[in-house]
Amino acid sequence: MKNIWNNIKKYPLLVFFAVLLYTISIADLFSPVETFSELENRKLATFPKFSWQQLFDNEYTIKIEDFTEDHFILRDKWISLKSISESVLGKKENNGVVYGKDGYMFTKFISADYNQLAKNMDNVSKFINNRPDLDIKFMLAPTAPGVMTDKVLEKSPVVDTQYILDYAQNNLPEGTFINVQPRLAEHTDEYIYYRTDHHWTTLGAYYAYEQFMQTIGRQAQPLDSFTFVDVENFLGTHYSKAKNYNVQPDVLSYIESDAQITINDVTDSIYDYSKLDVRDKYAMFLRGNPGYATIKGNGEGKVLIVKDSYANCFVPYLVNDFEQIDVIDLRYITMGLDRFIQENGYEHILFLYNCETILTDENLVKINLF
Amino acid sequence: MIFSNIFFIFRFLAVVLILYYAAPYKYKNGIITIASLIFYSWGEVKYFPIMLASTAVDFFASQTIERHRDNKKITRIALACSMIFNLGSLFFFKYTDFFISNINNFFGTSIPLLKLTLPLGISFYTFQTMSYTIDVYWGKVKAEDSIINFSAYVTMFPQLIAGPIVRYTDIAAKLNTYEGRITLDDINEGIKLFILGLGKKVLIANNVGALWTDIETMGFASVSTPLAWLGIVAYSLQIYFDFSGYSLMAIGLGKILGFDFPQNFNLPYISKSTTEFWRRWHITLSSWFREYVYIPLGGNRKGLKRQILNMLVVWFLTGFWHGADWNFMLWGLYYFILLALEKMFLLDFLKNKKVLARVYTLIAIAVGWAIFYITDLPALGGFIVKMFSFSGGVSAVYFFKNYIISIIVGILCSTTLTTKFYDKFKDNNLVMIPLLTVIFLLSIAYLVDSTYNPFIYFRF
Repeated sequence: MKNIWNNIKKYPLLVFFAVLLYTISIADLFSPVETFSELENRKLATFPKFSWQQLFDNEYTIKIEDFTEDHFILRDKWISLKSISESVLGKKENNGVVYGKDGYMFTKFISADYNQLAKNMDNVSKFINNRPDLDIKFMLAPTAPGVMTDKVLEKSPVVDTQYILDYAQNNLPEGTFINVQPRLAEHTDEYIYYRTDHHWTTLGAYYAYEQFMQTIGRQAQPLDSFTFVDVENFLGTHYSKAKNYNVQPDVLSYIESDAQITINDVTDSIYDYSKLDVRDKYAMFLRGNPGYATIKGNGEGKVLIVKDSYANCFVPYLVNDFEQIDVIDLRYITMGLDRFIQENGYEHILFLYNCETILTDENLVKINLF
Repeated sequence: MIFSNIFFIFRFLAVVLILYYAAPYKYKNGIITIASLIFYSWGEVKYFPIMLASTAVDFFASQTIERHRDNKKITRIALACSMIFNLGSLFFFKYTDFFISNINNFFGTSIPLLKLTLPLGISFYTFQTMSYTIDVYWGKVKAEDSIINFSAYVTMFPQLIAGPIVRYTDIAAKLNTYEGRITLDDINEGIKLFILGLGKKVLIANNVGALWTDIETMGFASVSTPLAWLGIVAYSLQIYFDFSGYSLMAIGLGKILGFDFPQNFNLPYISKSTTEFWRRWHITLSSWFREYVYIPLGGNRKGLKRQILNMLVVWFLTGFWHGADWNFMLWGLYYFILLALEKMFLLDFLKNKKVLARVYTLIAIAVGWAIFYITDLPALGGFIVKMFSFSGGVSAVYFFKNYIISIIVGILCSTTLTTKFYDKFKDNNLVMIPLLTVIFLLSIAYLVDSTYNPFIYFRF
């Protein structure tokens, strides 16, 4: 035995890596199992239950590998180490997120498929043309690369919002498309888009609100009539993917409001304040993405917003202008819009989508269902 | 299972090494076999029996040949059984769908495809077991008497799924050495090679490889000429570092277990002709084809015409071995033409023109990789036109900035700088321990947050 040890001493490299391998392996085995990753804002894999079926479908072994990776000791530290290395290598992207200037991040788009956009515009046009007596508007919110153009690095693979806006303008019935891009572009020196999240800020949404009101011939409430509340340290969806070590956290803001929202017969504040304590802070607006919700306002007329999550921080502005604001997220409903329209008799219908969602959303086909 | 994986390193390898080192000598080959069968079945449980059958067929065929040396007829039948089984299973799993879809295209029929998953590494291990039986038949080596030792050879996990193609003769002596098989010197060396191989795969290949995947997503014909070149350089680096990194990990693991596998890559991109390239690229495959196809066909001993024909056969098969599609055949024929031209006059012409020779070779290899990768023939044509027509398309600016450092690191590591450095410092622990620690820890970091970690030999 002594002999072997004397021999081994001559190989410090061998000893070092053997110790490293087994220290990490054993420490990893005994490290506590987390169920949720705050850093990545996602549920971590759970240890698979054995079944022959899963084994023969080659799912069991893959799940074991995923589990090992997801729960690897000091996972978040390894992720930061990779991020530092990537930055040393001068990488301008990670995991589908492209870095811009001043801490901005954008969704990576290397090839755009406009087939779904065309289908969506067809569906919307058909819907509008079949209902000539209703006032229907369609607003496409440009995402950050289309407005904060000086934050985008040269030739970055980001979405071509101009193409999408032009396409919508040219393919929707005359006078129904609201292009909010020029107005937002006038305010690029303000904080209108989050750096770490794919949404616009509540301030950015104000300019869209202003334009919407103007389009339907009404007066928007002035900006200074709203009280903004700031919440520090917001890390959004882009960050959850990119996990860059040198992130500059955002400040999430919302306008003070005591409006109530009714979702599935439960009435509560339009804000879910509990979300401000967790990573996914944007989920406070409209309490997430309900399929159908109704908000009681103190203005006149009824409006229906058919929307994606960009509308969530936009809707609170409407509370003082309409008596009833209904929102529909087509992902979570199964019937068409007519039932809602007949029941409520809306004066205005607004579709509000962002330029990236509209490229892939497959739910707009539902609006023409009965 | 693949090597560049957290589970492999910190679970599988950690456990297998303890069992292997702790076990009494006579059980070590058994442990290799069991561990390797688990390793093999991990990704596709259903193919476990194929591995067993493959082992059994060649074991018994070779035993039969050994026992009936004097009876030519029996030895021939035994050899034929092995070849039919090996080539048959390779053909069945790898090529059936290719032929069915071509028959369907050609005759307008609609025979359904089998859609089989290719058993991991089948192209590698069928060649290995075949070479063993042929060697026994030729009398180059005595048939292995222990089925455990033989299974350990066939299934040995370090080299099972992506080479090097280890011949029985390479490791027969060590397989039958019990005491003294494993030396601390070898383990020490093996650790270094494994970590360097891991770094090649995870830090270089994966890092530059994402560029080529992006170009594929954009469409090969939509890029600008500079981006086409940037992309093909990136892919050339990816396939080299991926493949040679994998081979190096295999060689390192082999040493850790006490076996010496042959070298598989020797700085292929410093070649001054494609002839030289193929002496430096995937060496164990080229030498397999030379030994078991080219020389038996007569090699260069039957005149130039016959030699060229033999080369044609070898390169057609080499191409087709890499994948069941037309572009792989085209790729083989492409190299046949280049090699034949070089044999006839190009080598003489390039003899004292060092720079021209290198430029020619690198361009030829890059075009080769385009043919190798792009299965869709019209897209391939479009891409090659892009490379040489100086036309516009998606700009290279962003991709250049994003990848240039990784590409430069890759290029530097493709030269003799790395071998010179390694030869000079490999025994200097003050250099090697910190360097390998950095590579190892960074590789783990990339594996933990693996957004891009492909296994690119699924078609082989």
